[in-house]
Amino acid sequence: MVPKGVVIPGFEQLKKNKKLTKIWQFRHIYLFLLPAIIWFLVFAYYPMYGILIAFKDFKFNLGILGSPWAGFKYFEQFLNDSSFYDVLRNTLSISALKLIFGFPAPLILALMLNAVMHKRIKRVFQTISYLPHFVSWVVVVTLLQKILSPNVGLINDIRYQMGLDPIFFMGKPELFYPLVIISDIWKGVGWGSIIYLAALTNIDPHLYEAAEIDGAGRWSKLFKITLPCLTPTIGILLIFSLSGILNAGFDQIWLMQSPATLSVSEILDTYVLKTGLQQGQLAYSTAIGLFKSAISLLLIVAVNNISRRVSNVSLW
Amino acid sequence: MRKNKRRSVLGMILIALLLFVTMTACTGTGGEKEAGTVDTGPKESGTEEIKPVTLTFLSAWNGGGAGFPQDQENNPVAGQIREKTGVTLKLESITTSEVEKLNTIFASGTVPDIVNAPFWSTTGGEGQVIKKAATEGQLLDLTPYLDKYPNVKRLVTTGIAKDFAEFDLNSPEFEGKTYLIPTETPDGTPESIHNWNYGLFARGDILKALNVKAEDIDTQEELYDLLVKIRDGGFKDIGGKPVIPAGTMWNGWDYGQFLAGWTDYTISDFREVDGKLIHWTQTKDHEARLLYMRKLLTEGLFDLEAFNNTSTTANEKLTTGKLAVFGAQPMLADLQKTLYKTNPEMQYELLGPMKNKSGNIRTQVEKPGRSGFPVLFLSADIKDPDAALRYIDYVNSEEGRLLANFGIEGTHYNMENGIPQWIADVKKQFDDNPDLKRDAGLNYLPGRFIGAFSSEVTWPTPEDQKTEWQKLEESFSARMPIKIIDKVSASYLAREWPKYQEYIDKTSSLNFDEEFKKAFFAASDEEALNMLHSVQEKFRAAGVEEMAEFVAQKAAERDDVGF
Repeated sequence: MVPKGVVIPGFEQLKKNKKLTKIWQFRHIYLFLLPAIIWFLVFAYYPMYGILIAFKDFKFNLGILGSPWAGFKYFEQFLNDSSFYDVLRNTLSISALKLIFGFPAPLILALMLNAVMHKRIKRVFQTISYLPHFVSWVVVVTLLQKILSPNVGLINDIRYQMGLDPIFFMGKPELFYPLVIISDIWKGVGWGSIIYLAALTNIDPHLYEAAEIDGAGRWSKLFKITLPCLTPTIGILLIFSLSGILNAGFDQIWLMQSPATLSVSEILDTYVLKTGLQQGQLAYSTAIGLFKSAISLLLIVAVNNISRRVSNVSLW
Repeated sequence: MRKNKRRSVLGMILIALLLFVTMTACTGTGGEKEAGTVDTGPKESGTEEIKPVTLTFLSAWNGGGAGFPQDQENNPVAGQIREKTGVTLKLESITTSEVEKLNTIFASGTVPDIVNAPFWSTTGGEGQVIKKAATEGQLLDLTPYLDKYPNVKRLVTTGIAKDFAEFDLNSPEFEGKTYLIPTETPDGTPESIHNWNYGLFARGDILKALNVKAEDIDTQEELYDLLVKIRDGGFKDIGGKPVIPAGTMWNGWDYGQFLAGWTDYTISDFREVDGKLIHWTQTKDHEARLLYMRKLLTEGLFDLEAFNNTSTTANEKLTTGKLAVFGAQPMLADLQKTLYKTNPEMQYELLGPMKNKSGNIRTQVEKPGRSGFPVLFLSADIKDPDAALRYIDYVNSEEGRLLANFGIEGTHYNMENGIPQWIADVKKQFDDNPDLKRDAGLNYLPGRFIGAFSSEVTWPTPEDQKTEWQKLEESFSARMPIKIIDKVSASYLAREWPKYQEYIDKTSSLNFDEEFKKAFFAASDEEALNMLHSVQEKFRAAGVEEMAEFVAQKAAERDDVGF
């Protein structure tokens, strides 16, 4: 151990060498990182050069690098697109609603599960709440359509038996957002609660014991111990959620979308697919995608900085 | 120490294995691509021994795989073609949008050896994508091969409308090169033009119960009254659930049949209204069409889910008799295996045919030859173009067409006085179960590989051998005429307009039909009309009126232009 303030020439170099020596010593373990690194290089970094298309007049034969430059033409085109504000508004609305209602849901479920004392019952509830996570959106939306169909759906069958007119639940713009939020919570709440349950197990039981001795009740313990202890976890997850605010959930929205709800359901991701692959405007749709990614990157940096200053919770 | 070394060696092997798995996972369909790379070298068909070649084939048609035989490689027809050409095809099809698939294969450079795709128009959709791919080097130029393959050469010239051939199929941008091989084209005679039988079809038992004659329903008002009667009549499907008065197949195809009263039977994007030429997006008829559809939807007369039906849900509704009236083609392939077997009394009848505002009945419009058809093209990267062209040339020969339509001589048919006659047992099996015909390899070639010269014209089925379904389809065709307009489409004149490209750029992300369908579900008629006017205004802002004026001037300069 070198005492503070004492400078030994070459010590820093020695320290670095020691690190390298250690890495070499555990090279077999480090080698296990290789597949992950290769995966990231091939599937996450190599395709990123494709964003160049957003600045090019893409030609099939010239490829991405060979196609002529178009500058910011496609970004300007998107900002002047008559659909721009509708698409952005829908994206932000759905994301914001998901954040407001969807973000606290796993936390609430985790707290509720944590309060269940009977272990078997707790496990049963946990398993039931996880299962929807493993069901694909295609299946979830098909189920929704079947249940809510105005012609053959269970709910409208009941209404029919009661002499009531059928309701086209999936085709009412005013019901679209509630259905999106409810199905999203149903599918993700159990899975999302895992991280909170893990954090809850890390809270020192002595804190609760001490609080009980001081006469704290259930609610008091929740607000004075549990939630403050969960704050870093909540903070980190919130930063992640806010950074993805422009990801309104492509699979879900794409499958639930219909002409009847298009005015409220066209989001950036669905618009990218339609303009890019369905209308063949590859450069234009790449520009929209890049616009979305750039805003998301700015958001994550901003939210992280704010969070670090306000609550001392941050990703970096 | 030794133990550690052993562990180390084992660790390295494990890591190497993991790396190998990771790397091979990245190679995608490389193996399959290799299958198409057997080099057979230069040869004239029939002059050298033919080496076996496997080629990949994509049918870029949503749901196009339904006609593929279960055993793609060893069905009798595929076996016979392999004997003659050495070619084995690996078939692939899609269940998504055609234009989406085309864009994907061209942008990613993964074009299969042979592709069949829609080539309706080069001003938008699939045609535009294929044209871009051709001019940007993704398709093989077939010009040097045409003299060697006479049947292929015939396909690129026969059964194609004059203006479509000049401006689309052989677009000036192709600079004299040939990239596309049309299929499903007629041979130039009116008899060989296929009647697609689009119309409205109503369940026979319901019409009977309401004492309505199918042919009497031929106006929009009569159609509306019929649907109201059906809604109030308490009719049930085969499961005892209420019927839906009206509906369509997947994704709203073809709701336009319910609006035939406002359909102009034309060959261009332009309409003459009160002596002025207007673009189709600007017609006042859209208001009436929109309000009519809204009336059907709001009064419970039309399937609310029609516009987001998947093919599965639409088929379920069709084959359970849930749709009292549907708009599309007669859908006999699906119905004869299902509803018509269990509930023959429900057999759908053709309504009308419907009349439009001018009093003309539902009509299929054609120019001499077709303007838009499925086309075959080859990948620019194909390793053995001769093998692909040998295959296409063979199946379009007299022998190949017989094979494609009738199968193997002696097994499926016998020749009598130069005319193929089905073997009775085989015909009965095929008529009873069309899937058997498909699995014998008899369904996919005529639909995807063969163009010009209808088999029905060359080898007409004798009256006594026609199935009841063939007769039914013919009875529909007889009532819905084909109108041939021998003119050049005014749409082509618009391409000479100096601001044409600017207009295309401005309207490329505008989808009139999508906006129109959106308006069906607006909260009020007023809001719906506003939505319609808004999209019409966007087209106006892009210069559509100026374009129509230009086209009118150009059209006045010649006497062979049709609208």
